[in-house]
Amino acid sequence: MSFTTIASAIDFAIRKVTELKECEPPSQSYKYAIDYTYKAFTGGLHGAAIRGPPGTGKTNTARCALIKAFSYIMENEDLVLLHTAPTNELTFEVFTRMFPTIYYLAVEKYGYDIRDVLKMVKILGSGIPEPFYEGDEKRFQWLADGEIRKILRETRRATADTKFVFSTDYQRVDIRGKQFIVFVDEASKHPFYSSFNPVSTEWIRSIIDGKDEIIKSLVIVGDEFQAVALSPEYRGSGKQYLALPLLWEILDKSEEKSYTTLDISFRLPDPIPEILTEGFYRNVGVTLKSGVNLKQRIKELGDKKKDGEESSEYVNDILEAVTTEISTIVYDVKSTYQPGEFTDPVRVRTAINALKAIHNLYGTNVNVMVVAPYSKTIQDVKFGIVSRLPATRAYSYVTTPSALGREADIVITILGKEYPGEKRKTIYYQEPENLNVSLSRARILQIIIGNIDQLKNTSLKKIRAISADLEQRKGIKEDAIREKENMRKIASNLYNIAKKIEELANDDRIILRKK
Amino acid sequence: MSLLDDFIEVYEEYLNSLGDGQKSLKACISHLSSVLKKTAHITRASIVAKGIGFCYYFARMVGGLGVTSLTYREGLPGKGSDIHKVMALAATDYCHDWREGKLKGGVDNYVANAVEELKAAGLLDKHNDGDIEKIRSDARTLLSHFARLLPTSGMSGNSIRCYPEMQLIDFKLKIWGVPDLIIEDADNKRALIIEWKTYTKTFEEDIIQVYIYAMLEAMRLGYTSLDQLEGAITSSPPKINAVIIRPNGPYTKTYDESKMRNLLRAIIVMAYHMTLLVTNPEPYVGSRRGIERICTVDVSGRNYISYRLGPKEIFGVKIRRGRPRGSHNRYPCNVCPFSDVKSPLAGAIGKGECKIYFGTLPGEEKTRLEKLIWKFRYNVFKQSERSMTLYKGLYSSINYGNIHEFLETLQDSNIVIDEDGEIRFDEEGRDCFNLRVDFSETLKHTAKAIIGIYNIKHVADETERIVLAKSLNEVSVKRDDYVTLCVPREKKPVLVGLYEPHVSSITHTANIFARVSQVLMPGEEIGNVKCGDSEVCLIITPISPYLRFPFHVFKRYYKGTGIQKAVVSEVDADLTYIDLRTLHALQVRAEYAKIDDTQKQYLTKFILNALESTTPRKRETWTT
Repeated sequence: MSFTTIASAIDFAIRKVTELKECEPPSQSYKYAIDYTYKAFTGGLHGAAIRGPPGTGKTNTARCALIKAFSYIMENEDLVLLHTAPTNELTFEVFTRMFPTIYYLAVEKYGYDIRDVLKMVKILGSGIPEPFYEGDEKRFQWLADGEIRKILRETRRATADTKFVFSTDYQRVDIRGKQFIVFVDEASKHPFYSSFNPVSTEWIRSIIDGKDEIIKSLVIVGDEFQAVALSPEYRGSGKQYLALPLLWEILDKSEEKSYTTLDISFRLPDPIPEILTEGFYRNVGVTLKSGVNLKQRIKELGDKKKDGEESSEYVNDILEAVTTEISTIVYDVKSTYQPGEFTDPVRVRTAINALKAIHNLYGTNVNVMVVAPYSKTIQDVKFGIVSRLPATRAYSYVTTPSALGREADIVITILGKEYPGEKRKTIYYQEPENLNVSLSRARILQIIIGNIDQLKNTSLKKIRAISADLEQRKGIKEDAIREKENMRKIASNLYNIAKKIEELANDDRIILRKK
Repeated sequence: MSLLDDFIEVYEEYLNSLGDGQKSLKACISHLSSVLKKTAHITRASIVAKGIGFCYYFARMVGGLGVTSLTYREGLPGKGSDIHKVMALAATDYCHDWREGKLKGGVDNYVANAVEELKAAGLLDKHNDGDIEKIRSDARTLLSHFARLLPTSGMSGNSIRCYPEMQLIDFKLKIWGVPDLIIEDADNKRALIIEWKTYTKTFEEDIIQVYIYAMLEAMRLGYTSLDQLEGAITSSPPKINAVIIRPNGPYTKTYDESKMRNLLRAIIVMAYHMTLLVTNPEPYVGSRRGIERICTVDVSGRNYISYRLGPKEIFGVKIRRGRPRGSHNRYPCNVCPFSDVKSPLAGAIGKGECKIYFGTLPGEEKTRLEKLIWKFRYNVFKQSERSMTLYKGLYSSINYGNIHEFLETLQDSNIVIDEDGEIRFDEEGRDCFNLRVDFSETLKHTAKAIIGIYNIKHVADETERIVLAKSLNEVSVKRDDYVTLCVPREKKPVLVGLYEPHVSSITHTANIFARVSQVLMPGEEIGNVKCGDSEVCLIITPISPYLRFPFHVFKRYYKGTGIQKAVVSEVDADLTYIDLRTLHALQVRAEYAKIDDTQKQYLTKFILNALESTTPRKRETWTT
């Protein structure tokens, strides 16, 4: 569901939510995650660290813990659950997913009316949608009440009635006399301290007021393998200073040991989790599995358009994928990015054609996301589409960092520079996590456009070159050896991804087309 | 010799004055000169003013460490107090009407209109009638003084312009300042700086602050040598004058010429000193220890690092400072919000912020949590420097003499600017990033910005929105079988500055920091804005709810100057002040956790204890 105002998200909760979604943990790791989070919410633990690979249901884990802890939070008058996320989009999305649960429990369990609920839920961020538009009261009956409109206008400011805050991590939550459970979502690239940004002023004030520490517990959910656009200080060994790794270390050194990794992706159909395991999670002993029934998902695409006039190789490829229940198409292009270039005409054209084919087959009934590491590439695809297809909100065009935490039915991923780079490291050699994020957004169909041969061959070459270097360790400084070993590991992971794609294509588990 | 060399020479002279105990002074100066030329760090004007005129340690805490308290917060540009917002609008409107000889009623009218505009936009922090009446009354008093001052100020004629809250960023001076009001006569290279103060006493730091603004304005007006710059401020009558307007009337402090020159030089030294404190010299000159070693100075038998040593006197100007480790019952400590006698923290943990940061002796053992906080703080400084590199790149337009020539060059080819400010054509740049700042040799950082001149299509009266447009032909670049558009990217922060021909640097223009909320394609329509069929439009909106007020200011720049074009450049947002605030909170918490044995320190104590534990950890998990 996508909502354009706070009121439209609330309206959904009021009208559609008649029961709570099941919270049956699908594996042991989920059981631990919910339990640790619940205990942190209710004063049983100082903290919990949950690593959540793509689509593993991080927000749902929080929702399940909240259901269990709801009474505790409501009955402790001064307690506030502060949920932070790194972007406005994510903050609003989490709000739309958590609000129905809060609304249902408050109304069902505590007999609250809508005014009471709205007074205690706040959403803060510089780019959060408007509370409502003038005239919305005609669409939403409950909004006709002037008092409700007044309360709703205050939704973007924390007040004394607040119990639940959804906020980006650069907003301030200055409410006096409260105690906070800080839940940091999608904390893949947060430095540890930034978890406390919203309450830093109150954190000091409580000392002055002679009160107990206002932060009661800290729950951090994220995935360092999705940490993209990191500043250099936090790359490589600097990762240990990010929120998740550092809290993990703190918990590991304490008696609590309340950390775990979620291992089933409810977003990604097979065989994408296998590719990601090879590239990233195998390193920490995690095998990511898919929890998706692809056949059922494909039905969501609906029937293809009857007036879909044009047929093309792209249309045929999509139809083949859908009918044979294959989730992944790879367009293996021969072209390469020129040094200093951030767009490649072949890839741009392929993406435009694939998107035209999707439009031809399904119109705007499915949502499609085009992801690329460079904004220039994205701008080129967008401009190419605008002149060919009617404007629609169903198609979005985002760079990899903006794709974090988002998903779509169909995702077209344009790969970045596959070669390592001479003077400056190219994107995947600098931050291989970009590849993880861009390949893990699709619910039904993943289209990859890139030079897979180049990814495989150049990474292998790099591995061999570094290995040869390291064999003659003489004269190489300790730091340089570490750097080289890290680079070899990155190259190996990239090689594993390319090789896995090749294997899957040989086994007919993905469709691979040479372009 | 360039102005930057002049400034560095002043700093060199200051280092020389520290005494004979500097064995490698020449090498030290050469290294520091290199750091100062290359760094993208910059200091706020108020910090320099406080560092000279109030307390050096206070300035270090606020400027370098991001210390804030419940009673003191350093203001951000564009986030002024209610009275400053009212005065910015009222005085500018008054000034422009006075220039035209078309005053619309008395000062009451101008104040009332400003208050109404701010109320309607929800931009006043105070809401109750009593408070607003007080603001109105204070504003009327200040504006009356201003109205009486104007005809006698020597500023008149149609060529004068009035700029409220203009953000001036100068990488030679290394100062970023926002004067309350500048009345400028660009044709004659003259200006009057106005600062509003709501208290009747004038403090030394206030006087220093207006002269810092005068120096920034001299840079904007194109005074290109130290002699010229000093001359513009010290001449009689001065070309650039500065006045503080208080409730009891205007105040100008005049010094004799040599004293004034010394004050201006002390400002340069303090700005450089504060900049060096937050700059990591390593990327620029190699080893940090190396530069510390050659910059050692012997003062009263003890060794110090000259560029980190807090100055006591600069060219005869006494630098005020409290006594961090001593008793805090004398000025300035007895009025300092971070001292043991004034800080609200002192009651709880036995000391104020000043003693937390400056109260320990060097070599005292730190906990791992404290070490981590410092590690994070240094990371924040690095991040802050990187986020300023694009501004430094834009500032380099000053080397072209005027913005026009700089932008003409960009029309034809992409350029690269390195850390020395050297400009070269971009051989890699087949793309449409017009400007690339290349700090790869030092900070391992490059950043790109698309820059362009746009027509100002619409500046909204009611909402905070600016619409800019440019012809499709001018932004289209044909690539094989498709066309690419060279316009700033959606959601990117941008600096939008008026296209003022007399100004030589983009960072000196009357500008606003905002973001591109949308790029409209030809014919696209959103709300009541329709982009023409042969143009591309940019919708510019505030980047944060806290930065809505500058849009009201920009509207005045636009109307007051009649300039119809704007220079738009992508820049980076610097949010590191929020990070520093959090690190300060963590530092205070860590300090408290060390002395408090109760459960009051629930989480911090837990973190502190865990980090001090010697249990081996699973480090290998965190390598890529």
